[in-house]
Amino acid sequence: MTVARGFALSVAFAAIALTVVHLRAEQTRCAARMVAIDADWVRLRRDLWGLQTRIARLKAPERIHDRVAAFQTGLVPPGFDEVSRRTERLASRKP
Amino acid sequence: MSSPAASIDQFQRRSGVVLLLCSAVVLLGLGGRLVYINTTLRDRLLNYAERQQQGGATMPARRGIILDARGRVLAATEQRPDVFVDPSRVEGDVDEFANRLSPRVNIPAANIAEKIRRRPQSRFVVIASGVDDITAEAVRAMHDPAVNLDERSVRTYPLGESIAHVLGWVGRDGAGLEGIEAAFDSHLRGKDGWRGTIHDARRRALRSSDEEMIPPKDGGHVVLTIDAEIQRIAEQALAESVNRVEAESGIAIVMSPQTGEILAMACYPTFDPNDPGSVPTDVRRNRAVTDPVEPGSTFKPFIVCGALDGSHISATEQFDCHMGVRMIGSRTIKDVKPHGMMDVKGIITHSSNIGMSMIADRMGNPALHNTIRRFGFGTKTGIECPGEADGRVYPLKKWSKLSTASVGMGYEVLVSPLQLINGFATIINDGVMLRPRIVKRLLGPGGEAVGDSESPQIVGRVVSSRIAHYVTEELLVSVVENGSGKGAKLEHYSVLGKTGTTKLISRNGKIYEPDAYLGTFVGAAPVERPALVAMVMIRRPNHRLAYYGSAVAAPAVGEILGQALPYLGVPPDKDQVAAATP
Repeated sequence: MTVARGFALSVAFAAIALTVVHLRAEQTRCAARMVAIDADWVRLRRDLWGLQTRIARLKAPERIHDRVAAFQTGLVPPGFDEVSRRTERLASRKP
Repeated sequence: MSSPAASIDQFQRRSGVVLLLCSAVVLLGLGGRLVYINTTLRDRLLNYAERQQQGGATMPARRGIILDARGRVLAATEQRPDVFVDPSRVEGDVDEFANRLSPRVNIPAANIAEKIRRRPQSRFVVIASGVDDITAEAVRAMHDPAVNLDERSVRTYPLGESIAHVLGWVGRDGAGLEGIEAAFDSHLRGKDGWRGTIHDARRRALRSSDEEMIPPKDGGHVVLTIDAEIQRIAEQALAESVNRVEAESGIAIVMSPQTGEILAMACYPTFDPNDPGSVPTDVRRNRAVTDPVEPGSTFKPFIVCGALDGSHISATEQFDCHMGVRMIGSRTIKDVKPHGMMDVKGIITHSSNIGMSMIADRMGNPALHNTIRRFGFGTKTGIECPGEADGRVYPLKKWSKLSTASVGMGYEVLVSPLQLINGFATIINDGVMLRPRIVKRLLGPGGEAVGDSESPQIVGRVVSSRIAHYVTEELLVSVVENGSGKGAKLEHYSVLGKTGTTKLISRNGKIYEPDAYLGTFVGAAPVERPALVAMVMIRRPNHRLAYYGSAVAAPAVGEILGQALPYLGVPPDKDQVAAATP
């Protein structure tokens, strides 16, 4: 074996070793990232549940009526203006 | 004498042998140790390595949501942390630590200090359960190793006290204990998952352990027939009525007679299912299905239906109402006002006990008993709420001579409020009985339909359509227009209904308690095709203020129908308003 061949073989071995180390490191990084994504998924689910509950509280009929009364905008919750509108229509048609 | 060179050579050779022997001993020792580690110590070391390298986390499954008919969330699960303290890591004075923690968890410092001192050996002293995000963030900001957060699933009821008796509640372990939560526990309940992980030396998660990945299975959802807005209307009207006459309690039910769907079911006083332990068990019972009562005069339309349907009486026949007093053996039956001759319309309109006793006499016990059973009294309706009562209809052989008159007036039978309103819904629905339903449909975790529970479930025809129409459009309308139900009259809708006032049996069950009454009204509107039937029962009102069903319950039913009908988009049917409708 000449010195040049020996050197080339050493370089090849070193390159293979470095590649293996790099791939192992990358594999570990990806695995760790997957663990982090799983944890994020759990956290996002938790946040979603919390937000759904908050929205449900805001949409509670009692609260809507309270807000309508508090803001004094003259708005009426859906459905509750029906009879009054029909009565007004009747009154406007009377001679 | 040997030369110095030979001595050195011999020394080197001996040294080589000694070194070789030493190396052999060391290698032998190492080999032996290797064998020892791989055999004797193997299991112990493997366990130790696993504990050091392997870990994992629970992936919480979500308990299903309970929704109302319009998709409003009535019960949901969220993750909320418990705040706990590790007493062994509290540095310095416990009181000083408690003073720092107190404003963040909004609990008095003395209480925190007492909890810590009570269990000094424990590593896990819970200070606050299920805290909100702001509290959790405030605790994290302390950066104190002695105080930590432990996430857990908490069942939340966003509407607070509304619909509490129907929904029920769950225990600390997440299992349904009452109401829909208990009845559909197996459908709502999810199954937690598990994610195994491999850690590095610093316990940082490196990768998931493939063989230890069990995904969580979320629970299914339940859609109720309840409409939270109609429920609010019913609860408000009920609370006002109970408080106005200083009553002990009340019940309100609103139902669709065409589908059998329960749109509202309320008991007052109520409770917060987020904290069910704060009230006595008696308050938490869903009395609309669990507590049977004597129905009194509200029972009379059923008897009349049976009498007309069996041709025991005719609609035009006149009955002698004995001017308000009739003796049956040693018993005296009285009417509130004296009446002479009346037809069946007059008897129902003025709720004459004597008239009903005459009709019951005419029917005879077998026909009377048969009529009651046909309307489903004495049998569970089959609603999905747990703990439903059968009510009580005594077998014929147990009826006394006075039973005929008593049953005709709505005594000596026990019916649940739900059975009573379902009986009315049957008459209103052309005489066809439907099974009352409070669950509209079941959904899977992803919102897909599970099973088929949408269509009305017909129990059967109880009374002919002709008789049912006559009773509703003639008799029950007359009660509201001319009789005891005037309190339920509405400006824009025609209403039909029946009042009832019953004496309550004492707690020992032997005598009627003086001045203890149950005032009831069952009403429906609009008359031509009722979209809603509503019932209000007021228990033990202050008799000095009012106690008749006409005074304590009828106005509440009017209030409920007057608000719920326009909310549902039911057009007004009274002439002047209907004429204005395009």
